[in-house]
Amino acid sequence: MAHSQHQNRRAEDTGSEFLVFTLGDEEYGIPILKVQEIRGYDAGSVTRIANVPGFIKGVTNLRGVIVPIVDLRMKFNLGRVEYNAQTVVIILNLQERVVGIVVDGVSDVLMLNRAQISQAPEFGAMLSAEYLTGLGTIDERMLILVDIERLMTSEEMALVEKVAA
Amino acid sequence: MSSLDLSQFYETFFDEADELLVQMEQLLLQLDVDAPDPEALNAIFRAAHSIKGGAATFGTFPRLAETTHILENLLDEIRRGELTLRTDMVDAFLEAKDVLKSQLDAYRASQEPDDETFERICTMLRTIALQAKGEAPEVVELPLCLRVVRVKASDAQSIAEEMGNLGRVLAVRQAADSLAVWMETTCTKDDIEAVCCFIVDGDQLSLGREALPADEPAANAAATADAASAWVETADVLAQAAAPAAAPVAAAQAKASGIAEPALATPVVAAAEATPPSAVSADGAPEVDRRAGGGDRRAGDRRAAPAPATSAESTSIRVGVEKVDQIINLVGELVITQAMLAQTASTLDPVLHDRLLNGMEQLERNARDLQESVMSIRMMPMDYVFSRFPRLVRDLTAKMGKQIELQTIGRATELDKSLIERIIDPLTHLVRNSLDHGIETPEKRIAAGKEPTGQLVLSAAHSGSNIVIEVIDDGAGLNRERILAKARAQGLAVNDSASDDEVWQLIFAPGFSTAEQVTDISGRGVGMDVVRRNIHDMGGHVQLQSRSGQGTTTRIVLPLTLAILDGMSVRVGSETFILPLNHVTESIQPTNDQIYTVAGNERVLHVRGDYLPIVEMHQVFDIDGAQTEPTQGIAVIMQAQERRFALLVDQLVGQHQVVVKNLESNYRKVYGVSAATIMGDGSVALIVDVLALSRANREVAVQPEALAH
Amino acid sequence: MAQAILVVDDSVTSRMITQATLDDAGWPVVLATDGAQALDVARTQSIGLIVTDWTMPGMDGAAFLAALRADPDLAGLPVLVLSAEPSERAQSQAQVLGANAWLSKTVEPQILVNAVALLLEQPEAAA
Repeated sequence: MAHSQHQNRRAEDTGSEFLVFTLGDEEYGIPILKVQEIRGYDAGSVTRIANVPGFIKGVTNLRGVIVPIVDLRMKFNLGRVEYNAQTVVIILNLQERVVGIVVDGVSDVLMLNRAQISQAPEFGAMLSAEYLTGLGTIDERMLILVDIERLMTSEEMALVEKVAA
Repeated sequence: MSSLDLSQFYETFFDEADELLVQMEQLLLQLDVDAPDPEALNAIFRAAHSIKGGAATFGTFPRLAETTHILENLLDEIRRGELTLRTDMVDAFLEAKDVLKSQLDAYRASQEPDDETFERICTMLRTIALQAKGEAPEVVELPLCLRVVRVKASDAQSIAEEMGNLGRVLAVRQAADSLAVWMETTCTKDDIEAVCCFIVDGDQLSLGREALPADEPAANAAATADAASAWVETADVLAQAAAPAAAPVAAAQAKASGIAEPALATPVVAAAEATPPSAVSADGAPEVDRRAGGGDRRAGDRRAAPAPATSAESTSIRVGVEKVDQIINLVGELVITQAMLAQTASTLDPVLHDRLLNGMEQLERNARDLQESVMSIRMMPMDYVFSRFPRLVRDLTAKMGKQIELQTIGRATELDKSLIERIIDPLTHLVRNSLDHGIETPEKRIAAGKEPTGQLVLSAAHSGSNIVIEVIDDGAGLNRERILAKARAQGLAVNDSASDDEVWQLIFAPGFSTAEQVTDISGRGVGMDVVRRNIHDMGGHVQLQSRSGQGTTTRIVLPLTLAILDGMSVRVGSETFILPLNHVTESIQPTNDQIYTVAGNERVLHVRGDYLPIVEMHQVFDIDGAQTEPTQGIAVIMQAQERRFALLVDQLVGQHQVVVKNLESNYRKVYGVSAATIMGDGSVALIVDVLALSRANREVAVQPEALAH
Repeated sequence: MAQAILVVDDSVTSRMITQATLDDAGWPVVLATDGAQALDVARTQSIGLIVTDWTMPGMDGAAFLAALRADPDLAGLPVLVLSAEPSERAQSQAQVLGANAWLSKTVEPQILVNAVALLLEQPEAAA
C-alpha cells in the first residue's frame, strides 16, 4: 500500500507527483500533497449519519479526529459499489479539513511533467470539467487529473456548510 | 558589553500595563469622593506610576509616558492631601484611563497614538490641576518637541547638535535608542525635518508641541535638579538650562565615574562633555556615601558565570492559551485510550488478571483526576465578565438620567474560558436592556411608589454541571399587551390566552423589539434572538420571568464546559447515541395505558400528570431494525429549555463521561446532532442535540377531550 | 562564592529589564516584589548589593531601606535606588535613610552596570 510522501514540488523541471487511484474502469490522479494517508475500508468503523446523501457514508475515528467518509463511486455512479479487501479509503488533507474518499483501489504514485498533461474536454456526464485539471498520459494510460480540493469543497459534495454571504 | 534589546520586554509591559489600568478603573469606580480611602488613592497612584516608569524606561512610548506622568503628578498631590478630590476629577481620571488604554493598544499595534486625543487629555488634566489650586489655566504656547525613535546614539547626538543650531534647546531626553529635544525656534517644522533627514528617515521623526518634561528644571528655577535624571543624558550634547547650584566637588568626581549622589545637585553640563561613564573610577576614589558596616561586601567574582536568577516572586505563571488547549486535547485523548483499554481489559478473566485489572482501576482514577485538574485550568471566575459592568452602568445611567445601583453576586463562580468570552456580548445586551427599557426614571419610579434608585443584580452560581447566570432588575417588567400587539403586527400567530411564559418567548423572534424608540443604547437591532442563539450555541438556554411593575429576571443556564459531557449511551437499532445527562430527567418502560394518540398520528406519553410528546429516535435518524413499539423499548424523559418530551430508544447502554469532539471541523452541522465522541471501542458515537429533538414533534397543545386511546 | 544582586520592584517589566541588564553583565540576580520579601531574601541569601524601586505597595523603598539599616547584619549592604519617582523629596529621604545612590528610571543599561560595579568594588570606608 502506497504511503504519502511529501516532497517539494518543482513543476518547472521535474513535474508534479500524483497519486493514481481507480474508480470502476478509469484511473484518476490527484496531487500527492493532498494525500494524508491511505487506509483499508472498514464498514464497522464508520458511524452512519442520518438524512444525508447516500454517498456520504458517515464519520470515522482517525486517531481521535472525526473524519467524514465519502464514497466517490456512489457519488459519480462509477463502477460497482462493493466493499472488499481491495477497497481503499484515501484520507485527504485539504486546507485544514480532513476528509476520506472511498475508491476501488490505489495503483501508483507517478510523476507527470507539463508535456504529459493536456487539457480535459468537457465530458458532460457526472464529473464536470470544472473539477478537472487535465488529462495525463503516461505509457498507454490515461489519467483523469482531478482538482480534488475544489471537488470536495463544492456544494454538490455536501461536505461543507456554505455560509450565507 | 552587549546592548540589551529592550523590545523583547514590550509584551510583558503591555500585559502588565493592561492589568494596572483595569485595577485603576476598579479603584476609581469604588472611590468615595467625599471620603476617599487613602490606601485606594495610593494604589491608584502606584498604578499610574508603574506604567509611567515602564513607558519611560523604553523611551519608545512618549505619548504614554507623558500622559501617565501628568496623571501621576495629579494623583500624587491628591493622595498627599495637597489637592481635594472632586467627582469631575474622577471622571477625568476614568477618561484618562481610557486614553491610556487606547495608547497602549496603538503601541501594541506598532502605531503612534492619536495626537489630538493626547493633547486633549493632557490639557484636561493640567487644567484640573491648575483649577484645583485656584489658578486660572494659562494658555501657554507649548514648546516644539522633536522626537526621534530607533536612532543610534551618535546620530542622536548629531541631531541634538543640529537643533542647537536651529534655535534654543530647552531640554533633551535621550534613552537607549530614542531622542527627544524641546526647543524654541523660528524655524518651521519643515525646516527641522529637512535637517534631520540628513541623518535619519522621515518615519523616525515626529514633531509636536509638548510641555517640557516635568522633571526638567525650568529655565529660571532654582537648581535642585535631580542629579540623577540629569545625568541620564549621557555624554552628549546638551544645551541644558541653568546649571544647578554649586555642589560639592566630590559630587563632580562621583559624576565622572558614573554615580549620582542622592539629592546633590551636580553640574551636569560640564560633565556632559566627558566620555560616557564606561571609564570607571578614573578620578581616584569618588566619594560614594556608604554606611559600610562590617563584613566583606566586595563583589568578588563579579565575572562569574551568570547563574539563573532565582525569583522570590508571586506563584503564578503566564501560559499561552494554545498550550492549555493542547494539554486539554492530549488529556482527552488519554481518557479515550484509557477507556479503550478498560473495555478490552473487561473481557479478561478477573482472577487470572487481577493485578492488571487493579491497575486499570487505578489508571481510570488517575485519568479522571488528571482530566478534572486540567479542565480547571481553563476555568475563570465570572468576575472577569462582571467587572466590565460597573463602568457601563455608570456611563449609561449618567447618559439616561437614571439612578441605578449595581450588585454582583457570585463573582468567584468559575466558567470555562471560551464560554466566558462568549457570554460577554449576550450579557451586555441584557444589561443594556434592563438599564434602558427595564428600569424606569426616578420620577416614574417615585410615581409608582418605588425607591428612585433602581436595583440591577448580576448573579452567577453553579447548579450541578451547569452555571446559572441571572440579570435581575426591579424595573417596570415586560409589558404583555405590548408584546402581543407587536407580535400580531409582525404577523406572528398569537393566542390571547397564552401563558406569560409563552408570551415572553415571543421576544426571541428575529427582529422583535417593543421599544418605542430604538435608542442607541440597546436598540441596535441585534435583538434577543441573537442573544438566544448565542446561548444555544454554547449549549445553554435562556429563560425570562417578569412581573408587571415589579421587574424582570433573565436566567441563563450554561454547561460548565463544552469539552466533556456526562452522557447516557443508548442503543437504537445497531447504532449507539449519547444523550447529555443533564437533560435527562428519568427513563421508564412505557405501558400501553400511558400512550395516547393526538390528531391522528402524534403520540404522547402520560407521565405523572403530564402529557409529553413522544419523539422516536429511529424516525428522526432514519434507523432500520430499531424497536418501533414503545412498550418494547425505553422512553427517556428529557427536558430542553421549557420543553419536556419522551425520547424513544431501544435500550439503555450505560452512563459515562465522554470527551466531546467537534463534528464541524471536518464536516458540517448535522440536524439533531450536537457533537460526537469516541467510544471505548474506538467507534464514533453521535451526541444528540436535545433542543432540536424536542421540536421534532410539533408542539401540541394538549386538550384532554382530544385524546383517544 | 559569587554574591547575588537583589532586585526589588513591584513591576514585572522593570524586574525583567533590570535582571536582564545585570545578568548580561555577569552577575547572579535574585528578585523580590516588595520590601518585605526583599528583607526575607537579604536575611537568608548571600547578597552583595541591592537595587530597589522606591514606590511599591506594602513595604515601600523607604520602609525597606529603614528596616535594612536597622538590622546590624544587613546595614552594610550597598543599596542603589532605581526609581521613576521624580521628587527631590524622595531622593533626600533616600539619602537620609542610607541609600548609596539614586538612579532615575530610563537608565541606560551601561550606566546601571557601571554604578553597580562601582558600589561593589569600593573598599570599606568608615561611616
